[in-house]
Amino acid sequence: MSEAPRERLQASQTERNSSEKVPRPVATSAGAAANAAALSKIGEQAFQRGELVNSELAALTYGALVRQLVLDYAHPQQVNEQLDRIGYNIGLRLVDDFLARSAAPPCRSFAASAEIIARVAFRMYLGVNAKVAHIASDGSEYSILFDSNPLAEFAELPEPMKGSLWYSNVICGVIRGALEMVQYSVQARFERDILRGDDCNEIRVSLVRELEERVPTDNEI
Amino acid sequence: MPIYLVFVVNRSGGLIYHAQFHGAQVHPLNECLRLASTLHGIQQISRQVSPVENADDIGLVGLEARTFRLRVYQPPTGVQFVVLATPDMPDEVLLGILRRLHLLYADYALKNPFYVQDMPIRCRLFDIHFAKLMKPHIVGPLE
Amino acid sequence: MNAPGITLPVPLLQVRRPQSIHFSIYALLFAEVISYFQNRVRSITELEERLLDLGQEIGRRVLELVWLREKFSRREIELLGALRFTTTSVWRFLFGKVADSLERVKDKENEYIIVENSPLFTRYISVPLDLADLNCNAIVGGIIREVLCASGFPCHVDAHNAPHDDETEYPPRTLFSIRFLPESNHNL
Repeated sequence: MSEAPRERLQASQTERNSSEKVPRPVATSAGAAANAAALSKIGEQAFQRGELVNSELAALTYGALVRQLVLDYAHPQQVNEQLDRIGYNIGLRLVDDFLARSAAPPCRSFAASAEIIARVAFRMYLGVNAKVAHIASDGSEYSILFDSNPLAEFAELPEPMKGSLWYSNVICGVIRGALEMVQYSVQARFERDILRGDDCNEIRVSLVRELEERVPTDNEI
Repeated sequence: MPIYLVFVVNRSGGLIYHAQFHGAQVHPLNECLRLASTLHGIQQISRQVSPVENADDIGLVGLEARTFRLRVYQPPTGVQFVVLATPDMPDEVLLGILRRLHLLYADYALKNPFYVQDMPIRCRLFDIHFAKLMKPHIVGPLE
Repeated sequence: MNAPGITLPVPLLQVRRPQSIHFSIYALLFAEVISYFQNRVRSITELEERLLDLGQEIGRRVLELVWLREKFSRREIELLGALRFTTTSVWRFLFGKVADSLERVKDKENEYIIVENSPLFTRYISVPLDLADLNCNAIVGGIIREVLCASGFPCHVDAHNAPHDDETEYPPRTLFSIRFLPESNHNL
């Protein structure tokens, strides 16, 4: 099943007359902070409502998967790609779970997806607090910052991989897959990782294009 | 006030799950496939002609007739959940059923590694939970 | 992480911050693990072996963690004690509950069965008919095996499907049959 979803998705993109579109800047309202707080609450509630598993079991399972990939692929770069692909497949399926379980408000624009991913999805699925930063002036890029990362709980990168392996790259794939299912084709990549000695984890998300012609909302006009 | 028929239609208009219950005119599979794809077409058209500038809540939500009520629920991923019931069935009950169905789809289809996205749902656990969900609302299974 | 000397992270060993992640994301991760292996094997047996191997990698670390947290002072030297440790402490770590039962196989000195009525890992997984014998709980079998082996009780573990009394109930129960090797019968 590995390649099939991607092919089908591309087929459906062409049907939809995908359009290159420059997103308009987000309205910077004073209510942004209040909005973030409300979203955090939604995320926390969804987390509490959900069925939970021991995060250490998840860390060990994920660690065993990464170890397997390191054995199966010669170069850390290939491991990064595989992790991204695994995450992409997860994201394609996770998004329906998110829509059915989270009670998050609908995502009216690409820029709005930032807070929803950071405040609701990270909290709900990983139990961590994340925030949005470094939003590009045209709203087409943003960063998600988070300090604690349950996947990397017990991990330590061996010297030879410190500059090449992005241990938690699966998260980038999840974001890419999930956003693609709601019509935003994006790139997502790690910029900083605490495992590499950085002071926080940072994932950069950039819009490639919107997959469906959408009616602009009042804020965007 | 029973439910006659349930469809799950994928984002390309393909029928991936269907169930028909007693009391309804029985549609052969081919006809179901055609109905699903027609419904998908109407959904697309209704989105295009929508005069209201609201990007998420446009599109077909239902059809009412003297003899039946059709309710559609389409999350932003494009998959459609459709139910056909007697006209006295309250809208919030039908919507509730469709939202539960979405959750079953997210759990018992999408979290099954042997299920391929957008393909017909042939998962035993999905069938079992679907039957539980429908039980209070049907007269008796037809198939 | 930075200093090469011995700096044991104390919180890791003693302070248990109860942390959790959502089961949905774990279930999808597990589904992708299965798909990853499925694309690289030729038979059900091989797929189960890969899952078992992966489980062993996890199991070795589970034993250390659970032991450090719960039993710091004692080590199980009795076979039955090690089994009970598995069905209680280890089970709680994995599934948040204890195993449904632990039985000795009749007329067999070295064989035991752990019964799990509602296996968590496979909650959402319907195995297609052409793979009917597959039990994805092989990964849990691997965890159990390594927990026991690393405790000094070498054994083989198989995961089987076993129907409920009411056969229409699905998914079936999972039986983990554990066969200890002769060298497990040591009296220290």
